[in-house]
Amino acid sequence: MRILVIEDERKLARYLQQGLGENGYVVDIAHDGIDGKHLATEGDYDLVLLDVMLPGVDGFGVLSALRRVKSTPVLMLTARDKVEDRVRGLENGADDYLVKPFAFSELLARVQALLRRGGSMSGQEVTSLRLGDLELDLVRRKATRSNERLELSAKEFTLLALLMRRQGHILSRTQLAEQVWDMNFDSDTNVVEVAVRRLRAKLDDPFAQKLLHTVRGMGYVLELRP
Amino acid sequence: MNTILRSMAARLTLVFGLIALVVLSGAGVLIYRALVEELRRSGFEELQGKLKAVQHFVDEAKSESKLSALSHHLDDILIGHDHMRVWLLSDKGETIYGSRPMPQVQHTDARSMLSLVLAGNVPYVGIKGIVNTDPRIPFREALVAIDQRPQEKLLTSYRRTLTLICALGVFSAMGMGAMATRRGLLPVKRLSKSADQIAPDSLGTRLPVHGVDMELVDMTRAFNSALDRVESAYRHQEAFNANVAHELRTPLNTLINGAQVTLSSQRTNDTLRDTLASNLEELERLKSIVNDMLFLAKADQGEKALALELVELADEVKKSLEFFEPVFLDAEVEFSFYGNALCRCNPSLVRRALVNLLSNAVKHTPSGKCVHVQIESLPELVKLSVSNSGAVLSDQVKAHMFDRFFRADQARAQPGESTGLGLAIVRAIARMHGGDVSAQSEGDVVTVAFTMAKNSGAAKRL
Repeated sequence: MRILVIEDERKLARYLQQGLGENGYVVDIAHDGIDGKHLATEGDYDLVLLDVMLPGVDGFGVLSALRRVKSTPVLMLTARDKVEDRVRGLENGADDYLVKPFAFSELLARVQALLRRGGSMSGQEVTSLRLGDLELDLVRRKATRSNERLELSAKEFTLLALLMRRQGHILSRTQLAEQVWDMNFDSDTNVVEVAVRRLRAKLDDPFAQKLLHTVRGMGYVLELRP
Repeated sequence: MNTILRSMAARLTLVFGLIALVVLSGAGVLIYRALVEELRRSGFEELQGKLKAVQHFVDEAKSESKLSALSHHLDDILIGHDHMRVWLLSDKGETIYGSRPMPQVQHTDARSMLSLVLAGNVPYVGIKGIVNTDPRIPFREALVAIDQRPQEKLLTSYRRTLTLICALGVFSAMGMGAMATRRGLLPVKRLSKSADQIAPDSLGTRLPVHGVDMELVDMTRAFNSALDRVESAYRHQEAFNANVAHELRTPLNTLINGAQVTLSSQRTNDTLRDTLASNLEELERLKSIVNDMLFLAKADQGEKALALELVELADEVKKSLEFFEPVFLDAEVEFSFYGNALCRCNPSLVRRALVNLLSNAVKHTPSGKCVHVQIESLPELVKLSVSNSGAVLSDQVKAHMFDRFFRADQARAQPGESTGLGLAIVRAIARMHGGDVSAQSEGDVVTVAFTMAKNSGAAKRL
């Protein structure tokens, strides 16, 4: 999968290239609107990450030039979060919109979502999830570990199911708050930490093999660690 | 033209000129008319006198039967009166005496004065009278007429003088008006001069109200109170900026020192990882301060809540309580809620306000006590209140708790702790929905509430 990053802030561009590269993507960088426009229209990319404020041609200009020739998915990045800007980007054919500062995990999740949307992955309905001796029955909403039933509240089950679906991926507190509790704003409360701690007490504390790990400063990940 | 009329002085000058024009030209016309009338009257009297004299000579000539001498007599009357003419006419209209041809009668006025035109287009006025009824004598009527040219000349020069006086009057009125206006507007100029001296570093300066003309007192007061508002907003902003800088300084300091100490010698991978993670925590904190401040700034600029939906508030309260449930369980605090109301609002913002209030409440509730959420429907507003027992609010806290960066305990915030913007955000959200916030403390129960207009933004949307 090839991704074009059009971003004039060189440090950020390099980090994005590194981060996305480590996640299996091939990343090209353009540092201004003119190069970006050329690469985006001439090159063959699966996704374009497009900064709005660019020297030469701004992001909206690149977007409309690109849309004239192809329908490559575009994720716009901007420091301005005026509603009009967002609307303008989406109306001009951007597929998604991310406001700086964003978390890398958030960016990665959006990139994966856009690429899934573009390519036709078979969306087979999953009814159960498994990780080591942990098993989730999504239909009956039952969680068992080593065949022992875990007594989870409804929200705890939703939280665990989300972590299971994205196992191996780090999910930030903001992402969890948004997807489990529909709290789509940064709150300075420690609710997510407390909720994860309580889940961990039921999920991991009785067992030797720990599954739910904290990645300091980033969030949480569910995975089997040796 | 438009730009000239935008000057008060120019407008007033023009008005003075117009007034002078109307008054003077009116007076001029009246005076002129009176003069014309007077001249006509005296002309008529003169003609009547002459006609009497003619009658006298005719009677004399008749009684002495010396009709032949009559023309001499008549000639004599006219000596020294070049502008006067006399005719004697027979009953058939033939000229018996006087120059021929007979003048044409143009018209006859109310006093039966006749307007005549003599040869060479010379205008005359005259009167006719019967001077003889004896059929033996060949004439019956006499016509006496005066040349109109001297009178017309007089009137023409009179008209010219009047016009000149009128024009002069208008111009001097305009000139004096302009001077008076300029003088009259001097206080305004003085006022704007003192207003000119108000700068950001002398924001406390006000325009003097004493000694100002009565008409300007209201304006000066209004200007001063506008300045009061600007000053308070400015001071507020200054204090806010200082606060922001201070709040940002702490995490920046941690970041810089952490990075410097870590880089100053060889570290294991684990230590480096630890430093980076700690940096990330500080950076997240910076991010949330900056985002919150941008949010507050937008609310300050009067931005109204967008993406409004008709919402059952009980649903939002339930969601928020559900989100908070782990924290309540952890802190062993009971929670409950009561009431419901429909409101047109942005549900995400409402949840954000509720979460901030709950976070605040649970922090100040001892274990075993209770947090209660209540939804009330007032006539125009809905009120959401969060109360918790086991705490007391001092008046000082009550007065400032919704200020930015206000912390009741004044202790420096720890990483992950609140930024001190939570309640300020609640207030901003309430105002974005056309409501406000309130706080009260009764016994050991503290209630913090916010209101929203039921139909906020329905009237004017983007």
